[in-house]
Amino acid sequence: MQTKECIAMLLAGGQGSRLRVLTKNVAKPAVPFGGQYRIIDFSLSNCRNSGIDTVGVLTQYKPLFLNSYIGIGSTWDLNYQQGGTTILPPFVGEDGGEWYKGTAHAVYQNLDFIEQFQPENVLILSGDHIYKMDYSQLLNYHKEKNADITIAVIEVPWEEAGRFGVMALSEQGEIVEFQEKPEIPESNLASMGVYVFRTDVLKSYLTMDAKDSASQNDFGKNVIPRMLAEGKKMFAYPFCGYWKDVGTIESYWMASMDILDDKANFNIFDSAWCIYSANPPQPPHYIGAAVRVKEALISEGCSIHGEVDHSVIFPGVTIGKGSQVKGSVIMSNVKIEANVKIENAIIGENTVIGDGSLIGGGSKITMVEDNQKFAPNTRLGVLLTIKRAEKTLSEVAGV
Amino acid sequence: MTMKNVMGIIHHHKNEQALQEITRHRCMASVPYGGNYRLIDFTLSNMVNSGICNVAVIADFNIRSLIEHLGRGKDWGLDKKNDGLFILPAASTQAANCRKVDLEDLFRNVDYLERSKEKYVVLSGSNIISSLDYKKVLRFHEEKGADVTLIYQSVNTPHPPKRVHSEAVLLELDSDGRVTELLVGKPGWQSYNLATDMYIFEKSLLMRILRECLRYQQWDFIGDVLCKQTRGLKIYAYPYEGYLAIINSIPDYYYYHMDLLEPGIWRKLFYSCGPVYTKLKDGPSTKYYGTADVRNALVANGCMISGRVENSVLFRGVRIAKGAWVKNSIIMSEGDIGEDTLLDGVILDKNVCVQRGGKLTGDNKKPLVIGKRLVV
Repeated sequence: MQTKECIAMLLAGGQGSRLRVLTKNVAKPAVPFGGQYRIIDFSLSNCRNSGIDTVGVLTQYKPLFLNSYIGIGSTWDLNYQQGGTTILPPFVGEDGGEWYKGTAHAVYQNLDFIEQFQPENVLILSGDHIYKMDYSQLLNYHKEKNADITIAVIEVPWEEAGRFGVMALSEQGEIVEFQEKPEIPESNLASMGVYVFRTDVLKSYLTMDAKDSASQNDFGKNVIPRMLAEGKKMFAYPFCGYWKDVGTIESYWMASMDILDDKANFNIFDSAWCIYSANPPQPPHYIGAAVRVKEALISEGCSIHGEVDHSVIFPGVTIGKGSQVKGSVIMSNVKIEANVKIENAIIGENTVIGDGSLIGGGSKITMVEDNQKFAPNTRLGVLLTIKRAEKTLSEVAGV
Repeated sequence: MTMKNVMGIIHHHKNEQALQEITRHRCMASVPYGGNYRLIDFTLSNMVNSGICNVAVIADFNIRSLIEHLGRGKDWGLDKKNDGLFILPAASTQAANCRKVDLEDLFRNVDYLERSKEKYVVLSGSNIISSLDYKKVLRFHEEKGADVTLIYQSVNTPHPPKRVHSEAVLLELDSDGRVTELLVGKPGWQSYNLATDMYIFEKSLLMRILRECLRYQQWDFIGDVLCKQTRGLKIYAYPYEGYLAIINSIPDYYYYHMDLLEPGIWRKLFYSCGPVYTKLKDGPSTKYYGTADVRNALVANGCMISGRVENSVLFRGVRIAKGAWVKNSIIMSEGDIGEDTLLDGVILDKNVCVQRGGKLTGDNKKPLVIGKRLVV
């Protein structure tokens, strides 16, 4: 087997339980995002665009869809004779087997995969972030600093810092302190969950970690603190582009609104850094004759006969006459019948919403599961104040 | 009924420059159509959706874009170790040819025909927009015990006809659906049976016909074979009732695009008979900005729209700036429509840039065509 300078291990086994119904049927990396994509498309497209040609994708939670979506990686041009994309599920060996207990344990279980390529460095990625990043620059920085590990970091708002692994740096950019999800953060420089390890260092620390029965086998909680305690050469690589951990419903909705907003600095139209995805073939979408669509993303196969504002509409969605969709994310093949009003909501795939229904509204996000069927005049979520004919309003109120 | 026993052949258009400027750099089969597609995609998808796994495409002239589009047939599921997609050369390189269906093209590839194991052959033109299930045609063919089955559509034109088929093949049928006469010419405008340039027959019959053609050096399947043998051969006609468009001219091209703006037709064509496959392209969904005002339009992915669009078809990656007004037009991929422009009744080929303040107008009888990559 040809040796590689750097290969990537993409952690895609997480449940993402805070995304609630969005991950009821699929793993978090397979959650649809941004009209055309799945969350994992961003990391895989970054690999392809950064010139990384070997990616191991570690799957565990509800992998059926994810495995078939990834296939041999041809969607991202990551299918190669040597290397390419390999799905790495948990497995049994002669001494039995176990589930991936944590992020570090998952990679430890697949050291054989890594050794095939004898890479100098291993890039650890997670499949649940929305960002565009050139990993080759991170790798160059890592080599320049001759580091044992380099962690990509980004400044986050102080009030959110407690959700992340945060660190303090020396003037040279060396990591001097690291706290994983601290209650009182001392820094707002957050780990993006993107690490480059020297392969020999990675191997020795993962082996040590696997032998430690007290460890939770997690990179952030165990491996990185231990490396810091043992005085390894650890650098932080500052990233200043757009990055969002879409781990909660609120952050998922925010990131969806960000792609509609030119000021958010996340351009999916950039042909120099294309985000690849696989979608079933659909015809161009149709916009009806008496329709207003603005500040919106509309995908193939949609048929729009109502009003759409500040919303992301996935492929194959039908929006009936007189309906209004505002501040919402409507996933594939949802059917919205006539005179429906939807505001600040996320509607799961294949759901049908009957005539005259009112979904969402107010400042909270209303979530609707996949494959639901709502009768006409259903009311769901926060009560709306809407301007409608009095007659229709009282009908709705009567339900 | 399995379609494992059927192979498909898509023959090339005998007037490869029928669409003038649009066919200057590409053959008819690869003319962009319907926002996402090339003309050949519809026939190819019908074959694949019907279960045909061995398809030959005969290509003659200006074939670069066709070959680039088809590749090894991956996007149609035809990249197979056995069978799959074959691109075959035509017999002559003369662009103009009076044969309607040139059997010499098939004869030139007789080795491929002999090597193929299928019993039946579906032969189709490359300029037909339809959603046809060949399984039904094969069943009809077998039930009738036909030698050749033609696919036709019964046309009842309104008064006056919206679109007259020029140079059509018209059929006279008996009550059983057997063809009693084939006529080549311009139809009168009430009702007629229009042959669609799609056929099914046994390969053994094709081989026999090819040997006859070689002997007499008469190679036109319509004029030299079918027209002369309405008695000798059992020729039946299968009635196709779905959406049909045959593209032979710029007005056809324009007219049938405007057809796609009927939601009923859009649904019938794209959702009645399996997906229409095409070469996959990557790109985001289409973005509508605050100033966008789009009504009655078919819009492909990757467009960025800030202006006004009415009764138009936008292909992939088209940009419509603020203050632009596009109506009754067809804009192919990557068109860039600048601020304060007006476009009415125009067809823009790929990568055309209309600069700020530009005005372009044509009309539906004679749409204005702007060639590829021009800046106006």
